[in-house]
Amino acid sequence: MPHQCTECGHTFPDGSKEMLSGCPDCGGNKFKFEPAADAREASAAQSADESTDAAATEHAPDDPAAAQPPPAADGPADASSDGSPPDGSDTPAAVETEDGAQADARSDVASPDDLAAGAAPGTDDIAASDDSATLSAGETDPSADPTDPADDSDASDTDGADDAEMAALRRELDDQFESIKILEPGQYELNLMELYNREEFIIALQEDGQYVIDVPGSWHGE
Amino acid sequence: MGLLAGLRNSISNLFSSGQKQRRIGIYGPPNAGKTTLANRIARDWTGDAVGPESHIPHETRRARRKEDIEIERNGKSVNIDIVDTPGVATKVDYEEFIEHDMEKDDAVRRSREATEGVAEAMHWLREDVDGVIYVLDSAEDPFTQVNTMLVGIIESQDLPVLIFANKIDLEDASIQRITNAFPQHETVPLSALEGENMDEVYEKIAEYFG
Repeated sequence: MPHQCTECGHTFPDGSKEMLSGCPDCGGNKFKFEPAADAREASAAQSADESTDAAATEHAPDDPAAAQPPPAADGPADASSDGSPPDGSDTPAAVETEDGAQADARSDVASPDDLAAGAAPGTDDIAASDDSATLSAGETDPSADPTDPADDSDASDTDGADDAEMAALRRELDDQFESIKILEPGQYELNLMELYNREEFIIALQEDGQYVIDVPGSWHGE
Repeated sequence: MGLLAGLRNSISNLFSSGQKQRRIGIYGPPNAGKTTLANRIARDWTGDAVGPESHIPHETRRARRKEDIEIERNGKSVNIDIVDTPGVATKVDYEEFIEHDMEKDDAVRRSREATEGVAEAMHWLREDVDGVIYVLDSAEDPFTQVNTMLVGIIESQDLPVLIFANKIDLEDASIQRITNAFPQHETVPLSALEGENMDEVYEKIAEYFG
């Protein structure tokens, strides 16, 4: 599932030219790219859904380690993560389903029901569409199967996991890029390379943690 | 070297008498004796001082410059501006100053100013110096993150650099330890406080920055 429409969740194979004229289902023109690794994760999570039911669906987004694909899942990864509903089918059936979905996307016109279902997340709440753009394992195509109640619980769980991941990422970036870290008033950690590399010249630290900087381009008086 | 600094140097060269004025930054960790050295050089050649000295770290919190110091050696003279920079550190903590009997408010303010001073020193290194005197306390371990990083930055800039092993009057001083830490650079032992070996100091300055 290399490409996915961010509006309706329609998926496209890698290198598909269909997307160039917009999503055939909803007309959307924003797509996200899912690298093969993500697709494998999605596949693993989906197979977890199939094998263990609701308890597993809650566990998978919380524990990224649990979403690591088992070796056996590598083969049908792309096939089983194309948005078709998890119906317990075995691997060959999943491949057939993908072909069917592709053929359907190329030829059929979407039904009004599909369009309504696809448009709902984007029109009701912009944040919801943002979330869908960052969804990971276990919910590759929520709008493709709007009747599946597991999708909703997955979304809320994944929101929490995403928040935690974002907070961790932010901390990591802060560690990496902040030139002066204020631990508390009077306690500072300095990133010398960052201070050296920055063109801005920090001339004053404020009590509230703000910087006053001298931006490049202003003339430094002799 | 920044565009602005280059432009400024070009303009100053236009109006100078022909002899190039080199701006030499005195860098090093806190309490290495940078201001003591700057004062020694300034007093020896101009009679003025650059700034106050203290045994409390981060006494120098703004870069201070003494311009147009003419150093004569072996019949040659060099004109330099020396820039005494705040000591460079990766951590500044007000509790360090409280240990020197400072009130908390003063310690916090000093810490903040010292941090600004480090930022200023790093900015000067990027934009405004033509050579570096790197001052180390001979009685302290030179193998630190700050020393390695700063000397690396200076080398990456292709700036001429002299390592000054200061405080050789101290009992624990080890010049060899500093030579071992930076074998790629010339190490000059001295005591800026006692004025020991200043002849060699000025010879090397004239040789490297003249």
